[in-house]
Amino acid sequence: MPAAERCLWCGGPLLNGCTIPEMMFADDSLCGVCRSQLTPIFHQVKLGELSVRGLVVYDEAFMKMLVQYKECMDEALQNVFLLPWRDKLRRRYRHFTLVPMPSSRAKREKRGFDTIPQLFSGLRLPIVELLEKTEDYVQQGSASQRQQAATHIRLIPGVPIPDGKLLLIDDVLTTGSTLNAAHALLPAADQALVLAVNQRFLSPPFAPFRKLRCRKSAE
Amino acid sequence: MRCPRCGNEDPSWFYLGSKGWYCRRCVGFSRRLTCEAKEPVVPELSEPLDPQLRLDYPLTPNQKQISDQLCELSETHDVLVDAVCGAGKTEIVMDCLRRRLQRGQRAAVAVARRQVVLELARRLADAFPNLSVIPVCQGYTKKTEADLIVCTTHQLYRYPHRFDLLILDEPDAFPYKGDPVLHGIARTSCRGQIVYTTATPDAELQERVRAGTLRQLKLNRRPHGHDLTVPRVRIGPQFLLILRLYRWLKGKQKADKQALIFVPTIRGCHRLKVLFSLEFSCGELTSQSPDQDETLRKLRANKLQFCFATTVLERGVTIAGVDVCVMDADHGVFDEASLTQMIGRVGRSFACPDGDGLFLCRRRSEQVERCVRRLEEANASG
Repeated sequence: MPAAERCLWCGGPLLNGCTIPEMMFADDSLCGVCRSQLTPIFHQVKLGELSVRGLVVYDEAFMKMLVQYKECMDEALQNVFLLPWRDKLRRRYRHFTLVPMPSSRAKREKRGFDTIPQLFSGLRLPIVELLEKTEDYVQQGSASQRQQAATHIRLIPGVPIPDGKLLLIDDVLTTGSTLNAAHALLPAADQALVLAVNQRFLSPPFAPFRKLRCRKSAE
Repeated sequence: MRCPRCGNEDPSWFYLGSKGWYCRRCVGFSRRLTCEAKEPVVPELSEPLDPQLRLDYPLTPNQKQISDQLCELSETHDVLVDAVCGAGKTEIVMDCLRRRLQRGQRAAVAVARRQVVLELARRLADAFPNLSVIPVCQGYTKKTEADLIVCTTHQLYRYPHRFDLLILDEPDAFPYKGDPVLHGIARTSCRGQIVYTTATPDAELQERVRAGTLRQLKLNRRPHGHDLTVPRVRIGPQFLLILRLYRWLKGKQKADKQALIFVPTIRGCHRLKVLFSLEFSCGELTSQSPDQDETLRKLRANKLQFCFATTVLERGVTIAGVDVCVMDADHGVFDEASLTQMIGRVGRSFACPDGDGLFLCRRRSEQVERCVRRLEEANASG
């Protein structure tokens, strides 16, 4: 099978599980089955003054793909996440300059690429690196430990802040501490774009008897 | 271009990243650039060991004969040990392992399933009391070096060009079966010969035997000399099958016998466990069970009478005196090999050489019939 006809995630034919309109018009690098594993959201999260736009839910399927991209260093996946929304987002943020959240220098050197800017490179918008990690701080898994990350970010000295609107970009909104810290350093940036949003920021799915249950538990 | 890890040569799987070309077929084990220096292929001998082999019972003449043939053949060829379930495949390969380790060569045992790795490591540690034998699998990766390594086929990526003898147990089991990445990694990890041990060789192994690239040794008799259990097949609608299962379990409860009930799906397994927990003391073992090791320990210690399981428990597990029922044996998940393996859990110990097997089906199934035929043939030829 030629590489162009292979799904970048499962390795099967790209047309697997695609609808007829998708077959004809969509230009995706995941097959329909793998794409359907990601749960799209149309959600705006408010973190104080910062409004964050997320694209998919941070669930197991997304996490596996992100781990393969970041930890297994599979660069081929860099455009997979943004692809269905690429044109829409490019139009929406056409006047913005993207400011990526920083990653550790050691990891960047090991990988040979910078994960966050490459994830958003498909938007073809200007990307300016304004932030850096103060030391090679190892990001931790648990939410409470991740909150410490905020104290390890600073503005890169000597880099001028561009005029115009700034858009903070990151891969996952886990606790919001990194984005909040970046917003504190760059008050002009009041919008952020992330690929995935943790379930805790999302309202629970519709349940017909939710109100009733809430009332009962309140009693 | 060739992947140094999985041996892939299909150009459509390669991708040019910032640091160079890498293989995407095995990138789940982390990126490996094709330009990275290959490991030395020249064998490096470790210190010769003096392994003392201690078996619970002496090998039968049949086992001894196969074991000697294996030691001889495996010096020069890949070998398939095709022995029925419970024939003592692990015991047969032990002498071969001992001889290799004695010469300072490196050897390992690889299995597709994690549960089987833990059980095999325990048995091998008992058999070689003066060697360090470690399991390397999910949850057991802190220590990866020892005299004898027992690992999952996934973990072989840690040992490129390392082993002079690789015992590959159950090569027809998921996920090893049909996975070119795992096949490639196993081949890369072994610089000597591979010994495949299974009761149900798949088409690929049989093809290699026919082509002459793999030597076959057959053993159709268990060490205690009793026949293999041939299951009774019962066909009927679902509710009758559940009733029949209830009666069967009631009988086992009266006779105070343990039983394994195999179910094709995790969901079905959970439902049946909940249903039968109303009457019996039941456990559940699937790939998603959080307490897999604990359930298996209880089962072995006879603290749990009945256990509902998916195919996760179909191989490599020995529970003395257990009877087996396969629910929905005609389900697409079960093939001839997995049915043979499941019924092979019965009558493995000297204390209980016979047992009871029951296949409950909703319709006639070719796989079930082939399994029954295979067992009858093995009994006739053994």
